[in-house]
Amino acid sequence: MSTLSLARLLFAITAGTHFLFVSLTLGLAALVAITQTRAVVTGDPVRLRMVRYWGQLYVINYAVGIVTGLLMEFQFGLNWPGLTDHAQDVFGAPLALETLVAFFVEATFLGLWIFGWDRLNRYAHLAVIWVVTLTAYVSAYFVLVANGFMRRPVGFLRVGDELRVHSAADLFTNSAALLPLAHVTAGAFLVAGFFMAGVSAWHLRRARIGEPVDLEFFRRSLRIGLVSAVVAVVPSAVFGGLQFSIIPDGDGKSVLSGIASELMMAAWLWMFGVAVAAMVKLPFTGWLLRGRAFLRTVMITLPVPYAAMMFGWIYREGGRQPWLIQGVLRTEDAVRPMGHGAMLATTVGVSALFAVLAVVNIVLLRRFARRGPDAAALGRPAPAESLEPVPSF
Amino acid sequence: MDTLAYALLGLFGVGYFVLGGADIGVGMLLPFLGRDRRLTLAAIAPFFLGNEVWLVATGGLLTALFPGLEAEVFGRIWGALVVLIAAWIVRDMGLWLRGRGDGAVWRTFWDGATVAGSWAVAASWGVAVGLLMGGGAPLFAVTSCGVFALHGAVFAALRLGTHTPLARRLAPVALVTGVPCALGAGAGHLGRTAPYAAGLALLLVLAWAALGARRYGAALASSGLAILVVPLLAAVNLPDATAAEDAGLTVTVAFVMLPLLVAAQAWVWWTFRGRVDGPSYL
Repeated sequence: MSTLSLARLLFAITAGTHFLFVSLTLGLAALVAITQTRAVVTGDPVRLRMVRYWGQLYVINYAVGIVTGLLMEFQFGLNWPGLTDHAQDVFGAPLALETLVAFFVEATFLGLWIFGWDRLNRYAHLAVIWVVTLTAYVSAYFVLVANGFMRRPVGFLRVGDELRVHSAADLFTNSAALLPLAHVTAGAFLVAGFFMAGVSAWHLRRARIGEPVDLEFFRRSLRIGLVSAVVAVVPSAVFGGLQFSIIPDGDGKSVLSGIASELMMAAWLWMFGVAVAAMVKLPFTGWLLRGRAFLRTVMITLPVPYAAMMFGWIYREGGRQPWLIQGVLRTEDAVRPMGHGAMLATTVGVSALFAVLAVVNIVLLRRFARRGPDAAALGRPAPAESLEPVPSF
Repeated sequence: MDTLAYALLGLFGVGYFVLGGADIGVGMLLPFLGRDRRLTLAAIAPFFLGNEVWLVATGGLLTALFPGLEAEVFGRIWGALVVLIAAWIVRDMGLWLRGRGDGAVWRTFWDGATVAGSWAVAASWGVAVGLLMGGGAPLFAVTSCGVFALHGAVFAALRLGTHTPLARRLAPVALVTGVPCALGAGAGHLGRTAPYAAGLALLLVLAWAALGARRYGAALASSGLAILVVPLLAAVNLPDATAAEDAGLTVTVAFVMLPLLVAAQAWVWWTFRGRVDGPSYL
């Protein structure tokens, strides 16, 4: 593999992994915030437990997702200096604004939400999760402005070898950023909705074989998850489809991106079918819980929106090649001329690290999803830890 | 515009070293800070996420305001930066994950990740800045590990109310190893390096004296200023650069946001201002 291919692979692994974590983070943050709002307004203990249970799964996923994002931010400067050399003014601004306006606030407030559970009054604590949620979407917006510029460069002017901002308004209202934002938001609600519904269905099915399950808790969670999926499924297709007209196919529309597009639509059709069934059944609680095949289907649908997100991403980003900025900057002209060995070692090392992170995330989400609401450590006074022997000096 | 852009970059960089340096130092010293690890980690738990975003913001500002500088500097310290980011990831995973498993093996493994990752972060800062100083990379790693560890020890003493002797022992260690190593690393431009090494020596003595007098606030201020030897020596050894032509938008938004960002962080500091009274979620 050439150094260029390795650098591209490294970025693809970083961004692809990060995107999968972000999909759940974005959607689940909103569902947790909505649940917490209802819990605070009604004072309902079941809803309060739902906030802690789903909130903990959100926090686990966030923590692993954030570290993949760190590498992504610094990778532009590390491996793609051509991007900042030629498109510095245009490309840097949205990334800088993302860190300042969105991520900085999001992370600061998330720490407050996690660790300040019993230190803030409940309205302040509720406000904090809403700030976290909204800044997460602001963050997605700025990243998509940078990404949308790569796909559909607007609002810039060529001055010699460099791109300069001609119209900040055009840059920040690029339809190649706004439409994907709506598309990804709908996708995130599908991911989080089917995540919540799938986990709930697993617990409800256990109840059928006589195991002790908090029926009320998971019935409500199933409803929230299914409603989220039902609401999001059509917008995800509409905002996806609208992009075909404004985003040109890249010169090198490959077989791979073609297949990815087909698979994305197949995954969507599956989710659409499940969502229609859910819409019919949602008004009838008894019927919703009785349908054995339905609960099983909901369970196995959990990974489907993830697959759709991944295929959609491959389609969009793969279709841009060989351009880094469509029609403006070639990928091969932007990569840092690194030694092959260093790039190979980094790519292999990062791939291994990210594989471990992905596995750890799946194992932990599975473990804490299965343990049920009473095992959530988030927001409860920690039990005194027995002092096991630890290496200490 | 250049001055404002430099001021922003400096502010966020300094913010990262002063705030993040404390939680990195606590991670380095974890094996020395008592057997109840959950209690020790509660000292930094509410802060570390909000501390590391100062560096993320510094990176974002660097891309937007000084892209040419970023491309050149990242090229010179590429290896150190890759190790730094990998170590940062390993360390954060250690912090986030150790409390999510039950077995002693699980906890020991992730504690190991926290400790090793924290040392590697401190050392790669030293190597990165050492490379900018002109070749004394391994030497300056000794200096940076010393100031990170001391800052962490002082912070732990303040938050936990214990382990003051550890911090007091670390100050002279950082003095006798760190100051000569800083001078050695910058031997090529001694005129540029020496004032910072002298300042470092003075601050380390002050930290030692303040710890002896149990003046924790003064000790933390001294160790917090001492850690700034790392970014300051990086700054004076950076190649000259002018801000990007279109930096105005980013600079304006940054100055508008700044009071909000500081207020958000201050809310966190205020909420967790007291001594640690029990283990946290970590």
